[in-house]
Amino acid sequence: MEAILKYNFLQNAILAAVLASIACGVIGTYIMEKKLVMMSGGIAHTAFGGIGLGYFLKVEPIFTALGVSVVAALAVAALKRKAGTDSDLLIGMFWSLGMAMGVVFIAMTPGYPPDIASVLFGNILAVSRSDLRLILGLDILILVTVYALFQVFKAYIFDEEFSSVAGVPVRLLEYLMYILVAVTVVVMIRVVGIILVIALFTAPPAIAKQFTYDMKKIMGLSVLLGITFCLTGLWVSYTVRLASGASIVLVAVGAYALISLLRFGLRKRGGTSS
Amino acid sequence: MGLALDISNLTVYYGEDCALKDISLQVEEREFLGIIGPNGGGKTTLLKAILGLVQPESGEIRIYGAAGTTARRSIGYVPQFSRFDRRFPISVEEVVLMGRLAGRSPWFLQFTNADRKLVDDLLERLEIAELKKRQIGQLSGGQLQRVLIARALAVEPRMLILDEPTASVDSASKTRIYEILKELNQEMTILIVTHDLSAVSSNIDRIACLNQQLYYHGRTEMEAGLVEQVYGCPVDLIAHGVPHRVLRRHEEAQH
Repeated sequence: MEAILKYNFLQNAILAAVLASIACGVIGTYIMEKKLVMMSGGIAHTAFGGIGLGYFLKVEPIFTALGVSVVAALAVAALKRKAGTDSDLLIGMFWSLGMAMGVVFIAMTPGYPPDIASVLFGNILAVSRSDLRLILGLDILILVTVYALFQVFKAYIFDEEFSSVAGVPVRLLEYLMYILVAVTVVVMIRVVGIILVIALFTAPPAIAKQFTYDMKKIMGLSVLLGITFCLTGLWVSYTVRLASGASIVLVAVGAYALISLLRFGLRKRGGTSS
Repeated sequence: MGLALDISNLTVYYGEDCALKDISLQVEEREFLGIIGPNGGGKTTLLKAILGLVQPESGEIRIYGAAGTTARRSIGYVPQFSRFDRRFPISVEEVVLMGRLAGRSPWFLQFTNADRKLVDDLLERLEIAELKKRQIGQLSGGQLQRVLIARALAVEPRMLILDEPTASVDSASKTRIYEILKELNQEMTILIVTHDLSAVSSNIDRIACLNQQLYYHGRTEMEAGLVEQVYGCPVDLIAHGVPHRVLRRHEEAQH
């Protein structure tokens, strides 16, 4: 506790954990229901290409990551519609292409190579004030969009055809959803990194859904769970000196496994006694 | 009475494959039309073309004299319930409220008390008022089907379009669903895609037989030869052993 008051970097880390969990819980719920998990993984990995581009062009890598992942998300959506190609295949190609581009850009950048590990696996203890401002800005953007379009997003995810017939702009919503995923990925890069982000997209809503069938509640619960996992992971990482991103993911997936097992056990016992 | 639906020379391709070829079909206001035909015969494609979900290669579709997105506002669409994710976090009330999205701006959309009242009335009318707060995974097939009909009615449509409304529904629910549709037919045009020929014969005014081309469009009783032509299989499979006849009595085929 003393450490939190004393060290600025710990305060930043806690704020980052809370802000990132908000974006992640809300968008993670959409990702789960629209079955965009692989899509999100692909977008996250193309963000690495953006990071590399940033180093190469000597601009803040997080901004180029945002640009590249948004463009990649839109490209996948557009190609899927135009070419009728399986988005699965496209995602696979974008996935590796993004990583490859990142590696190439970084190799072409003169001077010392930057710290790649913190991009891939996150380093919440290195979050700066300006990172926090960016995360806060993106959080607000995500929340306002979701709030403004909540009813139509729900309708679109549940039944795209009916929504389309009713005049809901489903194509716009599809593109917007991909953009939201890309933005959320960028928010998460500092916290858990590109590779580990999928765990935080999936574990909180998957747990939340075991307790409620109300979409707003799933979102809210996911946010709370995300905050809990991030802070617990942070604490673990601080006390036993483990990488923060990995600790957070271990806590999140561990919690999912534990809760699922407990519920499975309870149901089984309930089943045999009745 | 004017035309509810006027399709002229409609051709639809999926890539290289021709799904519908030169279809022309007129549906009168308050008609109850059944669209039958073999699987892969283009029934669903025809529905999708009417609903604006696939782009036709050529031809025109007019709904109450108008074409395009605005024209489709007068349609209440009831998709096959079997394709839904039953674990989706949505309640019966929320599903039916979706019908109230029609023609509204999507930004900051809030449902009004009038919307909720209309939904309550529809649930009442379809005898599922007590299911209002249930999540859709806790419904039987027949109940979910009624929820989807209620949602289509929430659009306040002039035409109801249903895709296989009684597939995998128990027979009591099936009868009830057709009774409800009959009642609704007093107020609106009904188009229904179905395999269920017993229902066709006892409930439906006219049928359209579809197998890439439109083979027959007329009163329910139809020529045996035509059914063979459409289905490409012996008519006996369809006509016999069914309580109501789709077909006129006909001679056994000579083998």
